[in-house]
Amino acid sequence: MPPNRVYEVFRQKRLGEEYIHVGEVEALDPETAMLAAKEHFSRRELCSGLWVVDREHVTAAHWDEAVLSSGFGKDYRKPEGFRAGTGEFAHRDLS
Amino acid sequence: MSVTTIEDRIAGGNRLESWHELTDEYRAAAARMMEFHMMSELVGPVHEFRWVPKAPSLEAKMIFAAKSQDEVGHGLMLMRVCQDLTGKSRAQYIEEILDGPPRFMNIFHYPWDSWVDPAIVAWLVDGAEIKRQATLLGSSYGPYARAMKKIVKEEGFHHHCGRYLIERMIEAGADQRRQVQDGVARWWPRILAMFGPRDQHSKHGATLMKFGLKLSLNEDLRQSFLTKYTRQIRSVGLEVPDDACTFDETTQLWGYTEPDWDEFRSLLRGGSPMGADLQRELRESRALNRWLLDDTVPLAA
Repeated sequence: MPPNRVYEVFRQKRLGEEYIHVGEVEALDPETAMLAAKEHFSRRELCSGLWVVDREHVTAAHWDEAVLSSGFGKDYRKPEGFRAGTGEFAHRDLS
Repeated sequence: MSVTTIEDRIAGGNRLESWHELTDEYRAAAARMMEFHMMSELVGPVHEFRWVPKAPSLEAKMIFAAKSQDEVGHGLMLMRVCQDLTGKSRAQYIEEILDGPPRFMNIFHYPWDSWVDPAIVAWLVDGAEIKRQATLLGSSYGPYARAMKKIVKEEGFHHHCGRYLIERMIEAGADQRRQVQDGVARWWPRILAMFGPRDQHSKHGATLMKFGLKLSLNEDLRQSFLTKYTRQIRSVGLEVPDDACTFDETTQLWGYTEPDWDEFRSLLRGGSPMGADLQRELRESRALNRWLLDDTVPLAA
């Protein structure tokens, strides 16, 4: 028997929502991976769609959180100077 | 990279994700704990599927068919988590579970002789397990914490089904009610033992706590179980089968008769005839299904 492969499983709970990673299954091929994914991840919860993706086909970022979240601290991109109802501008520390 | 800072990272509330972030000590501690959980999820349901044909109603059969399928699903999800942690193959793990030493929970070593046993296990054993598993949603190992989301949710279904079946029995007259009360008395000390000994000086326990792989002390979980389930047992009109089980207002702690810890340790170390029989049934099942595994080829070769 050829070796099993690992498939990452993504589930969509309702039509129109995003597909979210919910786990993995191990199977010989995508068709049997899909059957296993259906049993594991749709039996007890809402589900409107499933993807199975061979783990070998996933490319993961090699940067860590410090790099990947660096966009989060850029407060200056958010305009929140004027305080509605007070007629005043907030004085913000932009350092 | 993070070898010197792994404990700081855990203390800071970080989840660990990939293999190379972990130290050997962390990997060994995590694998030991998660393999034990995995084997419990895969051996336990043998009890349950044996009771599907014997369950007293179509509804009860369906409940136990679904419950045992859930448990096997939990075992397979945990097997994936363990495989990524240890590098062992699925075939290796299946061999360990079927042919290896009985590394699974004390509770599965006891026989299920009448219909009240599966119902009480679903109600109180799954209820006890939820107490521990809910804390493990905060495990420092991300893949395990994520798997626990599905597991905790489904154990909740099992607990409610168990309580439902118990209530049906209690309503069915004095004889069945007495069977339920006797069953609660039989299972009570075994369930209190599930949380492990009070003494927290064990080496493994301390290592697991240090690594954020265990998040509550055994005794704290047992106390939390007692708070919830003494009330629930009384609410369905049953008695808590332990005279020592009273709440001390000054210490804010429940008393209880100590379970037989020698029996507990001997089951975990040496197994039991019942546990061996569960593993035997899994081996027979593997032999019966061997033709399918041997003849299966990928569809999309």
